[in-house]
Amino acid sequence: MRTMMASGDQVEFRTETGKSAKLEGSFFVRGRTKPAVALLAALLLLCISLGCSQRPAGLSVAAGDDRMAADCLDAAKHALGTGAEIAKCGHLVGGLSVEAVAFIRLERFKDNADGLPVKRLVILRTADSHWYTALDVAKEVQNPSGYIGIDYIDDSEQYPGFRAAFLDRRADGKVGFVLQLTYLRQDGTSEGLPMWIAWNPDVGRFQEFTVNEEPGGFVQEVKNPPHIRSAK
Amino acid sequence: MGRFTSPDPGPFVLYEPQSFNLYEYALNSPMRYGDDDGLTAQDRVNAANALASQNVAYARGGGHPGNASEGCGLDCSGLLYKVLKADPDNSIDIHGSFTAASEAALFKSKGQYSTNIDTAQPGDAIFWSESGNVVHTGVVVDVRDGKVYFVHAPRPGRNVNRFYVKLISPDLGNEKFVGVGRPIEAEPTRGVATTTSGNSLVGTWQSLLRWLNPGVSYRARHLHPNRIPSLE
Repeated sequence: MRTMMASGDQVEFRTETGKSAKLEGSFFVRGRTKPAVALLAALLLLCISLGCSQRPAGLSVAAGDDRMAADCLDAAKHALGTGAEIAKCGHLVGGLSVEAVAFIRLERFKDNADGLPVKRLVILRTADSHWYTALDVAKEVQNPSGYIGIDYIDDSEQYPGFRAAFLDRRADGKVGFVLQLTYLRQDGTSEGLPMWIAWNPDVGRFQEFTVNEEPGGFVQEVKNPPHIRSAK
Repeated sequence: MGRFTSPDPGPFVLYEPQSFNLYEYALNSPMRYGDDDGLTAQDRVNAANALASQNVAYARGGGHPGNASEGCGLDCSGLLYKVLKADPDNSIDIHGSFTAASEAALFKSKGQYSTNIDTAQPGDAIFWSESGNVVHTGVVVDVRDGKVYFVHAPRPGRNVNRFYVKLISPDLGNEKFVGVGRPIEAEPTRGVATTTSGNSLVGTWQSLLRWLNPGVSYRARHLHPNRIPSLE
């Protein structure tokens, strides 16, 4: 059974296992998920058969919310492969563009109150009817202009990934989408303080946002961070 | 020319009568002693500020004796350990393996510990928790303008740095402020009068003061020779 509930411009996909959790758009899907999964799989197969994996993933913003959700998933799989899951899809930072938060799950760890364990996470964003990667979380966190949240790259550290959580308010109290990332240790516990990443409308990029350092606010990217503890 | 803006909060030491003068500076011998903030934790503040100015990298387990990362970086509990080692006259003796949680427990059992952020003073340890467990710590280096400035090792990829929290909102994102810890300064060995039972008169006096006013700390003055004083 599939139900939809209007809720602004965010969609939530509820699965029986609670795994993929949220897909933000403009309706809620409740109940059994197999029909929804089958529908999405059919759309994907149709897309592949039509050869759309060969083109940049496009977006039909005016085609409706279900189309938006399918486009987000399509773009996610295009960026991360078939293991991609969607955490959020919708107008996350305001404006006409659509953002999709896609991730590859770290299967050996469970979700908890601090967020999803992710091996890789990207925020995809539309511009001129095409998707681009606005934020890429792998070993380091990068946007198209540089590295985020670091002073240096430690080549010796082997963190399996991050725990990612999604907040709806910045630390200064302003309402808006915030991605919270915390380094994960090999045992699944967190290492160090989280970093908070939000959309900076002045520069049109996702950047680290802090209120605990002087000067506070958005932090400029690091273009060429030094490498430390590199293997000889 | 400097002037005092508030009475010296102490400590008041029996064998140093000048310490009872609320408006004296460095035992009225500023060419011999330094007492930059009128308190007795300057060693810890200096050590923390030095680490913050040296681009010390983050290292998991860094600063812990015997750890492979010792000497090549610090994590938050390792930083507190290093800072406490720089002040040998304190009551917190950390040894063996330790974490921010075990350090907080040590302050509770062998030092002074307050859950009130308003009691924070330079040189104190400061702690935050997540899901009820102490997970992060730093060293307070300044308290002014409604803010508590502290030095800490934030997370992988970031150098030891100076952050602040506001007195009215001392949390670090989702990490909740839980308390500040202050070592009890060891009593100087020079010229300490003792009672017939062998107890230090200074300790007896401090005990009396603590009994009269349990919310205030009283410690032996710890001054540093040959420091150029700085007055506002």
